[in-house]
Amino acid sequence: MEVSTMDMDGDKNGDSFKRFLVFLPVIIGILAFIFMLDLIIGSVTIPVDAFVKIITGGQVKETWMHIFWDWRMPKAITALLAGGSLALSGLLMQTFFRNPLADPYILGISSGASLGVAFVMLSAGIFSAGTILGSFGFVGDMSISLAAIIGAFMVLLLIIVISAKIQSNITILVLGIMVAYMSSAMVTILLQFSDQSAMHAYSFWTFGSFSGVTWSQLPIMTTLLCMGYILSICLVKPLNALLLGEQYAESMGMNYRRIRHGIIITTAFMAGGVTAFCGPIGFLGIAIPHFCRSIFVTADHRILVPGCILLGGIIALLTDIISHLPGTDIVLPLNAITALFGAPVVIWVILRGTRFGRGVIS
Amino acid sequence: MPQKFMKKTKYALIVSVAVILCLSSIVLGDSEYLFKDKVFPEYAKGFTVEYHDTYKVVNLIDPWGRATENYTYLLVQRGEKIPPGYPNARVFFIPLQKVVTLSTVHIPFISTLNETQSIVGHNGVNLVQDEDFCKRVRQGDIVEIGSGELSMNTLLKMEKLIELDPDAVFCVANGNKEYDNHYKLQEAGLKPVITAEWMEESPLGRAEWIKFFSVFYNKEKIANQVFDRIKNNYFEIKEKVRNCSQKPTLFSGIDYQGSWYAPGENSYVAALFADAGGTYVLGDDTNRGDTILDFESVYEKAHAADYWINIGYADNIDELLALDQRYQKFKAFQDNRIYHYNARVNEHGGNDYWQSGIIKPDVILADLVKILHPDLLPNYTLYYYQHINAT
Repeated sequence: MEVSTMDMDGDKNGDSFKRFLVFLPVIIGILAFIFMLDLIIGSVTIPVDAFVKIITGGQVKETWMHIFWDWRMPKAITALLAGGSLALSGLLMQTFFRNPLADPYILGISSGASLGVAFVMLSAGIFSAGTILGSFGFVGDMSISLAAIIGAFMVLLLIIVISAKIQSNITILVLGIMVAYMSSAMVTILLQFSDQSAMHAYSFWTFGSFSGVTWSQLPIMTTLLCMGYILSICLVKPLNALLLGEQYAESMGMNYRRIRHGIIITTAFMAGGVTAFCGPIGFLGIAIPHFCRSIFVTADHRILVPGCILLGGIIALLTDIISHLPGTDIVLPLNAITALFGAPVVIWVILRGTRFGRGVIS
Repeated sequence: MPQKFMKKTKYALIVSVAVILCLSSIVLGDSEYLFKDKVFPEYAKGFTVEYHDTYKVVNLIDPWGRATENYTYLLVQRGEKIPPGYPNARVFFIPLQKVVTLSTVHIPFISTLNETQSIVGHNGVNLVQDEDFCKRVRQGDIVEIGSGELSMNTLLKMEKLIELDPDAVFCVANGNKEYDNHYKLQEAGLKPVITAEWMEESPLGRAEWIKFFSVFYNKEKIANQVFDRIKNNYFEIKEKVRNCSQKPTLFSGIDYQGSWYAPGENSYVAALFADAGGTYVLGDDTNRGDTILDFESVYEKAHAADYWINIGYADNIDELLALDQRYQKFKAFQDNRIYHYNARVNEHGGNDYWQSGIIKPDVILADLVKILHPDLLPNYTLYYYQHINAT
């Protein structure tokens, strides 16, 4: 990925940053609108006046209250945060590896999470895992998410240990991919020895969904993802410096090793958090950073970090709306929708990038 | 004159009757001799059987409606010649003596026909709950040729399978060429027989596949007896609920991350619910298999339903809540009226509901009637189902 140095230069870049600030309220407005849309649209039709009553605390049918507060609200919040996190961790990885095809899972984090979940679902069984974790004080529907977090964290530890010894980013990239292969191999072996209902449960998990998150899980997920947001915002300056190479970053007086660990840990928080609660959701992480660069015509992370958070949220909410096929009872797997709508976006961006040469991808 | 005429017609009648009798004995004689008992499916739509003198023709009708996947099986009595005129048929010499079964659903059919001794190999022996079968496994007479998972042909131990040299390999077609293993078996020179009892729309139609199996063993007599008993039992139980004024509402299936997997309106499960005197609230599509619904629309339709029957891959209340705590919002949960068909599961996870349950729809129906209308079957105890205690 080649980046125009123009954008990186503080003075000249001021213009696009100012322009972004002007656009910011518009984007937030769109986000708020789509968020409301996700709450209003669903397979059960709730009229707008009832919808207003629910928000203002009026009396409506009890089932509508439950549908709104227990299903749609956590789902919309999850989509909002998960979309932003996936976009952001995709951005971090693309900048870190200077590779336009990098995604949040390139370090093997989702494979680690999958292995954790597979282990719980396939070998131990949902119930026994529940009791094991229950003895540590965790309750109810946390066992699967916890397994995913533990799995992701193990992979992360491995990567950090390796990256402490290895200088080259490409080597880390290859190692991440190898770790992913190894964990999926272990998942396959677990699958072979498990009974069919557990296999189905596992395969549903891999479809990915924002709907599985309950109010009891939401605080934990929000904490993880918001930590990722804050760390990313702190990383804006080093990320910009990284675009010009490691040496440039070090010549600016930055500790490259610390930056590297910072980026890896931040990605792990966000990608691991999303995978734990929503399953491995693909494509948003790779597509949205490109989308942002293209829309804001910049590689400046001061713009891209908030841009990814907002646009990630918008697009995740949109895919959620589409996957629930408004007006029908049917719901499609989220991963199918993200790829179906994400792929054309990336293609469009890549073609646009070459034509206009806007410094997105060369 | 009229008397003469009468006499004439009398003779003519006698002669013609004699001729007809003679002719019919020539036409039917041989087939009567070889295949005295015949089966004809009443409820099952997946196959037809024709009887001839030394052979039978079984037509398998593709359950997905594709003309390319209709198969003709030519079942020739051992020692007889293969009849001409069936160039595309797959030939089997009956009665079969050595078979391999790729699915646990085949076992109850074969076992009920007292032909378990013909099974020499099976895919997933640990899952089977049949007594005769398990005995043969312990004696080492049945070879494990897979891992129990139907849909991955790569997991079949092909070499062992070929070495067994069975007369037929019973396999399940799921409609997806990628996953169906009969193509591969055919290539390897084996003789696959496809069964599609799981695509039948009625519970009796599924059980009636015992007739399909009986044709391969010349055991039509037993098949007819067994099936008639099942049918009579089934209708007897169904009759009991006919006059019930109360038809409790119920829903079925389970959600995973926002997608609710429930039986479709035309599925055999929905048929069982209806026959057991229940009102199935999720059935308003035309799906034969499972249908995928949105969680919120299921909640809207089923929140006040009286019963929750079949909870998918959860086995108890803790697992149910580990999957999603929002299940507590259903009235059936609060009223402690959840039932699941996992009363007979062995230590390897093999569930008898999916095995002998296929051939005992009358027992499943009785279970459901006991759940929905306990007063109608006061002395009956649940067989496949158990109460999932939510308190």
